[in-house]
Amino acid sequence: MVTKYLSPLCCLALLLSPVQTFAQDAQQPPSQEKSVDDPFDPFDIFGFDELTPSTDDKNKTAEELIREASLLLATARPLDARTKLLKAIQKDPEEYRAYYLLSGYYLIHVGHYRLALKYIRRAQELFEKKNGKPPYKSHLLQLEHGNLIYYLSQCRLNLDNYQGSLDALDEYHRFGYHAEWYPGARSWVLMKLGRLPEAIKVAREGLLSGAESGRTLNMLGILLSMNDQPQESLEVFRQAIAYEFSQGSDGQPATPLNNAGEVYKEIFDDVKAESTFLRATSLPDGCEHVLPSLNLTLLYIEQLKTNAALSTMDAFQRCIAQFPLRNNEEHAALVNLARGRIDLHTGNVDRAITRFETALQGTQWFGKIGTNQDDLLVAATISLAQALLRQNNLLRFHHPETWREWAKQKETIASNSIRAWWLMRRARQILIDDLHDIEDLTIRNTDSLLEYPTLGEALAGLSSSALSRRIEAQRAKDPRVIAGGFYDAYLAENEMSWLFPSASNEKFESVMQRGREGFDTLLKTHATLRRMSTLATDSERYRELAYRVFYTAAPELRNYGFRLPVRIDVGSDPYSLRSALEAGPFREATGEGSLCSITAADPSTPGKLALRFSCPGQSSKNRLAEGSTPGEVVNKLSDVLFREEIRNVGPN
Amino acid sequence: MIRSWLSSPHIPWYRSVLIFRSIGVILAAYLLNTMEPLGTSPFLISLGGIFGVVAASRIAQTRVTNLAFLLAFAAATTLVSLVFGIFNYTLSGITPDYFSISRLQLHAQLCLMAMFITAGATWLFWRARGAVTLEAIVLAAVAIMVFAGHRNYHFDRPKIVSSLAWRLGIPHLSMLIVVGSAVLGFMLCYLYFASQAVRPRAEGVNVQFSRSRRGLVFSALLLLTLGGVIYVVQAALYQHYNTAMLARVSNGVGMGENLGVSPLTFQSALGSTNQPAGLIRLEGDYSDNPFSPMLYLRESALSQFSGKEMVFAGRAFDTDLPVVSPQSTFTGKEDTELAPRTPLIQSIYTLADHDSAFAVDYPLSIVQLKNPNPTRFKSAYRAYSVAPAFPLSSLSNLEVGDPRWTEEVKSHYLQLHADKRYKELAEELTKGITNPVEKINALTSYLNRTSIYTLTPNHNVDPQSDPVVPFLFGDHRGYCVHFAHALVYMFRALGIPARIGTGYLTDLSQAKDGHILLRMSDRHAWAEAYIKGTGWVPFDVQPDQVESHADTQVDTKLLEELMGSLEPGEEILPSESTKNEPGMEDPEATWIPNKEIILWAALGCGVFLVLVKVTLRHGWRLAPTASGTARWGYISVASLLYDRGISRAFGETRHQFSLRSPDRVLLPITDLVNHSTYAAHPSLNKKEVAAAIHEAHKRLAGVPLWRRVVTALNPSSITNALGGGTW
Repeated sequence: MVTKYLSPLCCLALLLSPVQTFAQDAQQPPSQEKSVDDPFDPFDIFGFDELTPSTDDKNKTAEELIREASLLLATARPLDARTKLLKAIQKDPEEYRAYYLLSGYYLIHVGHYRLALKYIRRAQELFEKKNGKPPYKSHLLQLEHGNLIYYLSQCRLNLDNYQGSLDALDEYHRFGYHAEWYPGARSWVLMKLGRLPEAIKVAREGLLSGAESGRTLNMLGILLSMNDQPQESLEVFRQAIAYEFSQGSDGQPATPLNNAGEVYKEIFDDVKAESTFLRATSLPDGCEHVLPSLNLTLLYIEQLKTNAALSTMDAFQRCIAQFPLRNNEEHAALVNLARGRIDLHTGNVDRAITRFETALQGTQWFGKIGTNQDDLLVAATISLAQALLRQNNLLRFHHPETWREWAKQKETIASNSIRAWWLMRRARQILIDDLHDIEDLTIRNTDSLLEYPTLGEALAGLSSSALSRRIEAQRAKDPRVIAGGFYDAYLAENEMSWLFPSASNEKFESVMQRGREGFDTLLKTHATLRRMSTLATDSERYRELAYRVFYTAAPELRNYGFRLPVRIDVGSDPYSLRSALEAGPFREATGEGSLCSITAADPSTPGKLALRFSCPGQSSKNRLAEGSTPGEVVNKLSDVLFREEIRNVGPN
Repeated sequence: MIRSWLSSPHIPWYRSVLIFRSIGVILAAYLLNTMEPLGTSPFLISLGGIFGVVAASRIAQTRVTNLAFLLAFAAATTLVSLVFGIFNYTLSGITPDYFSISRLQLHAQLCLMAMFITAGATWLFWRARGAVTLEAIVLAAVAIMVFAGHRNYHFDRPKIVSSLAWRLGIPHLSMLIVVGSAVLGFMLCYLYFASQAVRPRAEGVNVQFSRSRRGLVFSALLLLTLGGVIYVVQAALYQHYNTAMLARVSNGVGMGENLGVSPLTFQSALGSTNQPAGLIRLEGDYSDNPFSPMLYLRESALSQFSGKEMVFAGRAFDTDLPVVSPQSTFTGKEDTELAPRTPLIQSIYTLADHDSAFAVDYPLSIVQLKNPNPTRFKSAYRAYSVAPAFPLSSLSNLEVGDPRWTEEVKSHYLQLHADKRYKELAEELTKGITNPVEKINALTSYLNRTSIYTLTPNHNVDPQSDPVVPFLFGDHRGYCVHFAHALVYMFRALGIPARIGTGYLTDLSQAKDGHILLRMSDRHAWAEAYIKGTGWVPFDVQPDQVESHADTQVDTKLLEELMGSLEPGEEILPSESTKNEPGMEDPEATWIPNKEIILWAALGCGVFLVLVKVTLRHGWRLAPTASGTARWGYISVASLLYDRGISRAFGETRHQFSLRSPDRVLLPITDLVNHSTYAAHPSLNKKEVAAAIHEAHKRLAGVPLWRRVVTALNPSSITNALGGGTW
């Protein structure tokens, strides 16, 4: 967002410095062999002329260098520009424009806000030293002074000094300056200060007074969405999208499209949300930004459409591969988080753990709207804790081949349990402490990166009375009926952890029935699995629910540590296959009903054991597994049934 | 109350044990918080832990049974949970913050957990035989775990220690030795006090009289031995470090440009670490990079075949190499006949020792820069290169070799491997292909498809045999050194002039503001072929199959920190400009003391210790009453004796001790103290007491000068006083 709105200012800077004859710096190497000092050495700036090797830049004035740098910034050659600006400063340390442009460089291209602030404050000092204190009569000076103030406000905004940023904008206003960007920038800062009605007023007034339409409309849409006016927000985004499309190749319609998709998602209009995100990701400016792809992926995950989610992330990474110099840091954590969730729900738990670990280690660049490192941290922490618990369930069903593997398995289970407990505890602490009394409890809050259907796992450890009161308060201000299912699921999970099974079962049943078919699949699956935990494994209800999950999301059944009731027919069973199966994720069941069955099969290789899994009327579920030992064959059968093979691509 | 809890009349060194255990708890809390944020202030956690130590130590001296202690644990946990439950039920929702009690509960839980853990361990320490041994083993294991992570001689973490080393300009190895010695010293002291404290229980409480002079001699010898051991260990470490660092092999790619010698190893690529090797700052954009996002920085090239492997041929052939140290300058000559190349200026700041300067090819000039931080950067230079700017696709129709080469040069770069199998394989793989660049691509693709990247190929090769054979004609498991050799042998077999380039391969997508952090794990070797009109071009194998790899994430914090040291200084950006700007301080930055602060702190500590000693010796002069003067006078004489190695033994009364003191020098003052303490109506005259003290001092002064000097410098009485010992 920052980049988008500041880029025009680079062009403005360019306009301020009339372009003269521009010859590309040939940057010839020095001819002399003698040792010279660093021409960029900030501690020896005055020795530059005597010590610098002979280059074309040497003969240029600071003003010429600044003009060239402006052009280089506008033509996406920031490093060349930076070098020229530093040279310009060494030639003329009093030249404020070099400082101003360097501030813009660090603000826009690097994201080094402290350094950007240092440069802009220095630029201000030098500007006032040269031109005296404001106000200025000259229009050009007014324009330059206004730009300096704008950069100052942006630097402060990015350093979370919102009041300082507003003060700078007030100063801008006080001198009677006027610019198209002003209403958008001001409403943004007001939003960060929590003055939402005022921010909306400023944005609306800005639109009426001819402010920059794209930016201001987008800002107004976000503000209205935050102010619980989704329909009005969508209307404004429609105008923003139309405006951006009208700009042709200069427009950036993916931004309002993504924002509109987020609003649709928030009001549970999943179909429109999906189509809007798809449209955003298909646009040139949308495919290279992670947010539309991430939003779409999370939507698909909630619908348990893992293949679609995977394709979305693949498409994003294919797109980003066109920009090899884009810093991985920009999106690696989010990509790992999204891919890790896909891995988790497809039974590739080991890989999910690796991805979540990477997401936790990596820092992530965020815009300044709402999402921050804490959102990422809490999402990755909960996800990792869940993955560790799922891994324990998988290990409990896994037959170790050697005693070493057995010992390792036990050690992993113990360490996973401790770590998962710690991570869940830590996540709760961040949710309460840093995310203001679980502000992310607002389901599908666009700020958040949480996986809402399974968030209840983290909330289960909280005080029952505190959580129920918090949720009641949330319900009171949340008119969305569908969100109620999520709140019920959280309460049920919490009650279950505090050993109130009857109350929790009732709520889980309600969630299973009320959840939208095809959209809330993950929520319904999660509720079903939690409901199963209080059922006797030989009951008819358990069997019914187990098969319901098996046919919709087979990996989740094993992930949550449940056994699938099956008919077992292994003949005389000289190899104890039956007991191996029952130690794995299967349970022998008898009686009526359309049970799947496991039978001994003829192995393709002599001396091996083979098992065939088949389900009546569900030929797509039929599987065959071979192995040398009963444990191995059961492990393989378990893997082919409860793990979806997906490609391992992308950062890890 | 507190005083009685902190001392035990039955246990020698009781208070010292508590102090050491408490320091251990504080260190553990802060260390854990560094490793993973605990979410609760380590200070509060330490308080909980220290309370656990003190409480358990005190209760362990009573008749409370182990079962009762366990039950108390369980009861305390239940009670705390119950209290929080009630608070949650009654108070949550009343305040606008629903989870204020839960928040408090989470913090309290961690403090209580620390308390329970330390209380449990302390209980075991006092009650269970062998607990001290167990603790010794655990401490040793922790020390090994902590220091094993630094076997690359580099202090990666904790970051604060690493930063402190940089700030003070101390080599990392020295810092490692200092910290290791401090930890070792702490552990030894603790174990000594701990064993002293539990000895009465093991031996039954019996009185042992100290053997005055032997104690002093023994202490001195122990200190000398410890110092000697530390000196020997650090000397051995430095020697080993220097030997290891001379080779500085990482990823199987070492340094050094000795004629006829290869810096590459075939056995293992292990040893590649995240250790920073250098910081590159691109002074301009390089959008024409044909290998984008990768960047090759060449340090050396191996073009001579020794009969077994590729070795360095010297400047006679590879004239494009600078072959100068990073502290030297170099001026080359541009080959104007080479295909599109673009000027690229790089400022290079090395963070590890390098034998040769490295740069993007071809460096035309290397000039020295002023080192912005000599304690951090080993060298700083700027390389002016003419970097490749041709698309790789443009090479497809070009010839190989250079018509300007003499026969000698040509035959040098086409020197064949004696093993015919390389030629046979190369010809088989390029059957039907006539274009040499296509042949190169075919051979590279073959290795991409068939090779398995591993850090440990574990080939069993005779030292005189060709180490590439087990890779190319064997299991295809290897790393860059194997790939580069195999390609060069096959290129040459097909008449393509080739050599091996060595240096660094880095990923530009991990750069920030044109700054790239090079790690030792980025060291790389690759094959190069000479393309007519283009020059030496890298052809690198990227295996589809990876068994193990050493990829590690770039430490972005370190990169930013290093970038900070290149930022403009006060002259350009005076800090006054942003003096009142909020947000200028990095919230995640850790405060690292500088040399001055450390010196002042050390000086403060020294002054404090001197004051303690002065108080011990002369405190009696300030006592307002006669009885106070007597007590402080006793301490004055006893501390003097203590520094001479004569101390009151465990279980010994003050009177017994005074009888044992040399010439019963302590007896008069002891009698005065006993009189003031036990007499129904003590009648002490301050002047008489002072005279007795003077007399004792006078009698003790009659020793040689050296003995008096040693006594004055001996810190034993200070440690005894601070450690809670009795006189």
